Amino acid sequence: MSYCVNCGVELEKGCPSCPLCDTPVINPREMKTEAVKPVYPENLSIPKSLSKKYWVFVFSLVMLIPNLVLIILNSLVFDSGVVKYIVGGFVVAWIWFLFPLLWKKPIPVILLAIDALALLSYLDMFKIYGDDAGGWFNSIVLPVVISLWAICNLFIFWLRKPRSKSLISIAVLGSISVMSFVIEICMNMFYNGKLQIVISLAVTACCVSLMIFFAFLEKSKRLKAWAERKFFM
Amino acid sequence: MEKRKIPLRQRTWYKLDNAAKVFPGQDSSSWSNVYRLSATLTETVDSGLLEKAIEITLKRFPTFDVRMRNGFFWHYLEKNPYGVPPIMEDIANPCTRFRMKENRGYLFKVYYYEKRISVEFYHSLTDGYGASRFFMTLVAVYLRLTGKDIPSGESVFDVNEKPRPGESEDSYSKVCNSKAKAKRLQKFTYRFKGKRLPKHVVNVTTGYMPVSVIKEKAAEHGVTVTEYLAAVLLWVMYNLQKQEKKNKEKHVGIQIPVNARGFFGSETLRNFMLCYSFQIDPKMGEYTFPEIVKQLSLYLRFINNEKELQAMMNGNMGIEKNPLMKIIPSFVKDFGVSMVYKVAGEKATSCLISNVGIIKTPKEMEQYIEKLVLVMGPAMINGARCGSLSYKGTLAFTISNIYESTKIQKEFFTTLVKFGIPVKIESNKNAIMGGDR
Repeated sequence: MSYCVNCGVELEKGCPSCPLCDTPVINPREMKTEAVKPVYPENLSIPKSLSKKYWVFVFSLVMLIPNLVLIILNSLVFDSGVVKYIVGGFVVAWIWFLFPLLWKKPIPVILLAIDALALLSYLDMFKIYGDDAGGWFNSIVLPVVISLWAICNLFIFWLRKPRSKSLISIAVLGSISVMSFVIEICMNMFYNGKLQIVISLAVTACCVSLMIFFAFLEKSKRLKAWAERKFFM
Repeated sequence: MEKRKIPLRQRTWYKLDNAAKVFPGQDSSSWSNVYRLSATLTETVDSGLLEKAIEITLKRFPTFDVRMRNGFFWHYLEKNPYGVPPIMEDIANPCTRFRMKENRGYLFKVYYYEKRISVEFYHSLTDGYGASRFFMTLVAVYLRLTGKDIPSGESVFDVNEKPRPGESEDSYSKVCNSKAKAKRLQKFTYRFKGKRLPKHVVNVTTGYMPVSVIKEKAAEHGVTVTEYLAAVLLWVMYNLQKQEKKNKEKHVGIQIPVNARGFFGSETLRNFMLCYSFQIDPKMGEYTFPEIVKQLSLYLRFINNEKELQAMMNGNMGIEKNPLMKIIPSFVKDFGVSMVYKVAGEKATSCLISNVGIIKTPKEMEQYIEKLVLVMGPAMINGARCGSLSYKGTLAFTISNIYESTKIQKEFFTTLVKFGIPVKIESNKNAIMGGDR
């Protein structure tokens, strides 16, 4: 019998190292004995996991049933125009959250384009069936969604290489600033017909100050060490 | 094995007991509440005879010859049409998850390896008491088939006897008549964290120690063996948190399942256990081991009575009997249970210790069994789920850990060695880590 010199526990015959502390077992008296069968066999059994497609099917079914009930009830009883927006919302949710699971290796750029198209089509429904007073779709929705889509695409390309947390924070803050400009310009042009920039300047000022802080943090190791100590959570 | 067609009326079915109702909801893609009983015999196991032994044993244990079915509001157990589960060669990673459609629908898996027979039980089927009776009867039947003369008695049931009605009863609903409900206000506790082993893999470490020595050590503190081992485990977890030098120390807690049969005179072979939870708050000051032993022991002795158990049971039954809960479809209930368990289930305890106690078998049988082991399945997030049982004067204590680090096992067993208890270790670490590691 062998004992672990480190833990003091008795070990199984033929055990190459202590299971508790990995200390090798060298017992000159047990070296020449025949090989001992290990306590557990070496074959690992990893059970099959349920495929993503199964979950897509289940959740699709869960989403489909209330929608079908709603459509049937609407055609028979309510005859309300709201139903198409609810059903449309579910379709967009399906495209956003379940559709990616059907892909083995989703390509982010294509996925993003599909998501943007789905969102635009959904919002376009409001234009077609609802009131498009003053062309809000072309003036606000289209530029905002396209800008957001473009920024996300830039992020995807930029994040192909690993980036530090500080750099990512700077990029996110920059994007928030750009988006605030786009949204404010579109809104003001649509409602006032003037190029007025106030709120986005305030947002940008906050973002830029934070961006400067993160830029310093990225460059100065001392500042980084100080910030880690002061702001740990 | 072919599926037999059993007419619907002849298919015996059982409602799930109160504890069993929770487990299907807790299941995830890689986790089920499972535990394993293993017996190492003196001779190599014959899989053919083992299959025959299961066929014979199942006739005496009808509540084990079942599969789980989905009802609209609740799951239920129904007689299994296959007759016997598949007999499989043992694996390096015990207690993998259960799927209701795998394993011919049986809620227990049978493995063999060299001289060892192992059976893994899904917790909806039974608790440690029921499992140990089934398992010991199975081993006795197997030994008889190999030509040994083994009488019935103690944990070994007579397979020629008819199953008693009390063995298949739902004791929770039978005995629960309390009007009080136990409060379950438990703080979130410390838990050991580290790099996790791959999915479906658990590090199982068993320590064998002489019962007489542990009893002696426990007696020094005036406590029982379970209380002593639970206190050592709690002491280890308390020290692990201290070593991490956290600014805000959390409570350290332990969960101890208790067999309720003794209090209510039940002979059911289905679930009939309740869990005690004990916590210490490190913010109250430094704890010494004797303090922890004393507090844990006093707490368990204070709470371990029929009235408290009734109140705990009533609290659990209250959820089940709630009219609103009754009309919710089972898949929604499962989803709810799954969410609650993931968010809060294991966070109110740092570790769990289940002591089945002394397993007694007829004297003629003892010479053919080298050792018995209880392995608790892995936890979802906690590093220490421990099972222990005593057989032939040896206590087998097994720690199931989902983390690569063996700190918990090392601290626990070396603490026992330091306290003067000799420990012999065996583990599946080399098998799961691949070779010499």
